[in-house]
Amino acid sequence: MMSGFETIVMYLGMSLLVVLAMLGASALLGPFRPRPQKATTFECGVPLLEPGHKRYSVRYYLVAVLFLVFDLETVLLYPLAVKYKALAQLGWGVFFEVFIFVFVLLVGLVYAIKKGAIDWR
Amino acid sequence: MEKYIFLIPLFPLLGFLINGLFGKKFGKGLISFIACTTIGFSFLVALFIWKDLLALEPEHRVLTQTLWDWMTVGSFHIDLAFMIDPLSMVMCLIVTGISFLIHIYSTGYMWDDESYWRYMAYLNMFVFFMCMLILGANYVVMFVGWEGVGLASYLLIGFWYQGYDNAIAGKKAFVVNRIGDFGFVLGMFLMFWTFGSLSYQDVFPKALEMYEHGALAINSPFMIAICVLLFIGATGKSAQIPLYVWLPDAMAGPTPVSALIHAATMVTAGVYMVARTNVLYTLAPTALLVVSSVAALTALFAATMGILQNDIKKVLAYSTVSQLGYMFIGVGVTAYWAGIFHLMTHAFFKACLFLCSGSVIHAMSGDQDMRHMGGLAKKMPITYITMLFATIAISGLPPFAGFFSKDEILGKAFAFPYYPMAGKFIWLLGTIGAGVTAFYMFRLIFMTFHGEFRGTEEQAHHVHESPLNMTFPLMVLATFSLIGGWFGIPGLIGEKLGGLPNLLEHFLEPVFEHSAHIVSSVAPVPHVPEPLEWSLMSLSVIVAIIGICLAYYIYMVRAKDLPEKLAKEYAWHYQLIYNKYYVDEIYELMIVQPIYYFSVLLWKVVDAFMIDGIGVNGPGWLVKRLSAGARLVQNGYVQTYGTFMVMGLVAIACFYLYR
Amino acid sequence: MNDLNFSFDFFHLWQVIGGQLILIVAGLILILADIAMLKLDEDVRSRRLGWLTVIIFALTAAHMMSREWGLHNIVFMGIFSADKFSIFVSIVMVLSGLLAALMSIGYLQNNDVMKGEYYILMIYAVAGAIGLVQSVDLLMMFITLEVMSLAIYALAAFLKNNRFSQEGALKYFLLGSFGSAFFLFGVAVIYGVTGTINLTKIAQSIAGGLYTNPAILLAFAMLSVGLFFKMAMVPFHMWTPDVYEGSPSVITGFMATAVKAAAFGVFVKLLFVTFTPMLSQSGQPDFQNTINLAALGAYWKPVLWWLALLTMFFGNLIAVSQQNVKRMLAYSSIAHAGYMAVGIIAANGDGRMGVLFYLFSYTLMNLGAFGVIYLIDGKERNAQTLEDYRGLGYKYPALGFLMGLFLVAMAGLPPTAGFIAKFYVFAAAIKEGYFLLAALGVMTSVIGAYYYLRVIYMMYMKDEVRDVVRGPVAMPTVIALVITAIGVIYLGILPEQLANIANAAQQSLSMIF
Repeated sequence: MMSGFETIVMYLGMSLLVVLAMLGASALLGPFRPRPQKATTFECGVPLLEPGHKRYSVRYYLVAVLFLVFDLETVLLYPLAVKYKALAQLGWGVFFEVFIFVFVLLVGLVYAIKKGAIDWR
Repeated sequence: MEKYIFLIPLFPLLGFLINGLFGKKFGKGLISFIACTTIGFSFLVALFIWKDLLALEPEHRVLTQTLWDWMTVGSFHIDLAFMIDPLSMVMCLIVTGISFLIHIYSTGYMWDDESYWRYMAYLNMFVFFMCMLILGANYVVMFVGWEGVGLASYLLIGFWYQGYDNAIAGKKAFVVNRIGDFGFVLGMFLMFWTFGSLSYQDVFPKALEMYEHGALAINSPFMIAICVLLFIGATGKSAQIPLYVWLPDAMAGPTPVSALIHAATMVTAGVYMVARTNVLYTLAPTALLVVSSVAALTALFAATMGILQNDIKKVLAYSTVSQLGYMFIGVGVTAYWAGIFHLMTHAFFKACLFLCSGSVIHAMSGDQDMRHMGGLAKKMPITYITMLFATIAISGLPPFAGFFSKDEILGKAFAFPYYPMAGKFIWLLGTIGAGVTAFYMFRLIFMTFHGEFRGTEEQAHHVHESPLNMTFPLMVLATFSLIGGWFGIPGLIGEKLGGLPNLLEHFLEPVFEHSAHIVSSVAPVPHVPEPLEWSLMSLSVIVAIIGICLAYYIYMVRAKDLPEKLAKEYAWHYQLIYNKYYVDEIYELMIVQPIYYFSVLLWKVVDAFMIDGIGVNGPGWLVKRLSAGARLVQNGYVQTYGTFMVMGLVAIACFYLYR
Repeated sequence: MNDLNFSFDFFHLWQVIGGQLILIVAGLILILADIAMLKLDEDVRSRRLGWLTVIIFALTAAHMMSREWGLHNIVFMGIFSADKFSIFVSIVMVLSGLLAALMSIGYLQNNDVMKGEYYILMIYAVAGAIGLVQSVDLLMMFITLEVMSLAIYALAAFLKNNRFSQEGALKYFLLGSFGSAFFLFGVAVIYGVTGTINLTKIAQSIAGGLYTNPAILLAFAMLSVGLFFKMAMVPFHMWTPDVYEGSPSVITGFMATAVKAAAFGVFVKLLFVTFTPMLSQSGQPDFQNTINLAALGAYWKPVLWWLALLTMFFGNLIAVSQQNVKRMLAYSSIAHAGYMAVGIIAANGDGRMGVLFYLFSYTLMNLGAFGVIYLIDGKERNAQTLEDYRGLGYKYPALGFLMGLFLVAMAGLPPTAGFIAKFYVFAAAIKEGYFLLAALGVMTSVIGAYYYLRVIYMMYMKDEVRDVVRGPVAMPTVIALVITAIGVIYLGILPEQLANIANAAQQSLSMIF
């Protein structure tokens, strides 16, 4: 049964083959002379200052979480704003819904601030 | 009159609540007063109801009282209802009457105990549940009582919990009983499935109707299954093979408890249950064969175990197991009334025996070893005489109570209508058992009351007769050990004595008449000619007398050397019997250990080793691992948890897709 | 756009999802109240919030019980319904929340954790749970499932300095997400095949012949697994012991009752509305064809049969070898899930009624037991092993008696609620001919009696070896314990009333549309 997906499967297969062929060719043909210097991290020619597995303060994450609040707000409000004119025909319901949504987020934000979530001491 | 039935269990419940909640602050006099009067009231109510019951026509002697709808499952109701018919009336009089006497006895025996209030509260609780068991009008109410008396017995066995063995004994009793209950519950479920009801007044007529219409054949697999499962429950509660092991250990409780719960009332609940279910049992002859064979084996087996016990209460305990076997022989050979008759007489003489042994133990300052006793007859005459009465009764000598009931059972076993051959064999086992019973009971009498005192000086000085509140119940019970059998004089003797009626059989007749019809329609009752009946009767008396003589020879005439000599000569047998055929050890090895290790294995392999690892070496190990790298531990284990979830999903999905 | 309808009637909305609304709004207010009281002493603040929470739960329960029946009970274009079934389960969960909140007031003081979030999370957990059982829409089910779960994860981790609490919570979180993912994938597949996420519409759609479609069966398996995880059915139970042992005692009791009630409620709803011919009983011509769904019974019944059996066996058997009482009760709660599943397999009215009754009585006895555990504990993990319970029956007679009562109820002995509940589910199963399962179930309950009994044995028949001192007993905890104890005995003696209500509740399942 032809459903039009065959071409896609063939396309995926082809690209896989091409990639394998290229990698294989370079592995077969390219010179391979490992040296210790080559194993170090390459960073603009400057040696590393400290290891990569560094501990970050939990505050970074807190800020990230708080950012998420605004992020979500945007994601949900934007489509509503675009369609608002049409929706407003149906009454005040949409307006209140948006308002409730913002209010809930606001309570969360006030709570976070009051509890010292962005208090960096 | 039926509206007062609920008072019978209510009074003990009140006593339990008052003493249990406030008893700690009461004086001992008040506690005793509350405990005894509540039971006394119950007994009085039972007497009044009895009077009313007798005033009715025999076929209308069924009183019911429904308190409220308890449960509804679909179309079927379970009421919290009570029913009094001749059978429960007899049981009720025995239970409340003997409980009353034992409560009075306890006021003397337990007076010095520091948690006297707790004891009395438990005892009242026991009576409450026992009344529920007897008076319930359906199997669920019976089961409530069944579990409740188990709980009360557990609490009372472990009453002196400071002793390690006592607590263990309580636990053993409870666990063994739960195994029996498993059978009981399954039997109940199966009955519910078959008849759609659990009420006596629905199930039995329905079974009869189905039988008469041919919908239910005799010996149908369902009936056998129901009856055998219920009997498994009875083996637990009434200490039959293979679940009898808890009863001897249960002697760890206070002696009045042994008398009331582990001799006179609770352990007979199984017999009551079988008698109550008589219609179904009669319809399942195979189940009856199981009941009577197990019972006969128990009767003999337990009797032999009693021979070499040195603990006075242990002797009585094995004797109880054995006597319960006789009762089950009675109900197992369709002579239901005989089983109940023996239950009644046994309640009198065994309660008397236990209370006497309590009196002896009291006098011996808590020593229960018969090897330390001897010659107590002179110092405690009342105890001696009452105990002698009860001993003669249990040995089955006329005209004492035990003779009539035991003989009735053995005679009926000889004429077992369904399986005549098996009946003869059961009769043989029972008769041998009767001889053994007479032997070990008189051994007890001789070792305790005759010969020379073998205890310490201090004990000898202390030995005294018990106070009146302890000896009074003894005297009442001893009297009944004598006259209790006269309520059920067999027709053969009755005729000779000028037409004495068999009161008990007539009273109980309405309960068992349907069974009698079924039996007579299925298998003719073998006719036992009169001379044969007489000779059977005299044979059992002769066997008993032989047993007594043997005991007299070994433990009186040659008490100095023969017991020891026999022990040495037959060392192997001696050890076997002395250690009760090692049944406890075998159970431990074959059942308890495997279950425990299986559980541990499951836990260790499946839950701890493969998956968890937390509980095994304790949190210490976990802490170490955590400090090594919490991340690693968490990831490792959660992966496994997750793997199991995925495997579960794959299994379900595979079943759905490739079913 | 036109089928969107914003002109809802607030009164109607209030009638249907008023319980959720009260909890959500109250949660917001409590958040604000918490920060308004920041200046106050922690102790005082925590206690006030606790009492407020109790009042809120009481109001919610009152609202649910007093609502008018017979209204059209679907709102939001078929997302939430307020049938008697959902309301019954919701009341069980609110009751669980109420009792847990009462106990928490004392618990938090004993353990020096005085965070206002505790109660707020509890309120949102209950709100999510109510939403879960009220939803008739797979997507809303998923969302509310997550609302509930996230709050519970945080509560499980509430003992900050206790590594068991942290460990358990993290495990719970990871595995819970895993389980939710299954559920969500099931939803996706169902939507892909039928084009709808409404339970009744799915039933109609697959009854047309799709019910043996492999994709539907796969989705059914995935939805079930997601909920089996929450119900703690073997082999999806692995998280339970760790989480229950590590979590704060009161929260453990709350989780074992409210979350279990929610999971069982929603499973029963999903199973019977969508995958059985239940809807055809309503008599509506639209749903006549759902009678075909009876054929699905051949698929799910054997699976649930085995799961119930495994659950009863493993739960009870492994509990025998546990030394920690909380961990033992965790395994016991697994076993109880198995018993409830027996009622579901019966697939008749009595079985569903039995499950509802079981949930209610289990809530009472389990929360009661955990209340006693925390009191004896004092501070968490102070005295939780069996050895610590030695001789406590005489040292603290009231606590000993209560613990004994709750354990006897869990063991299913009469005359307690536990006996009646077990009787209902087993009787229902027997009625449908599942005699073997009932027999095996009773057998496992014999094993169960052993380890429940062992605690009583330790309390009453052993002398204490370690000087265990219970924590201070707070008044609200006493109230909660008295309520649970009276409830356990009352339901054991007079179960009929609740059974009738539960029966009406289960009948309403056929009227969800």
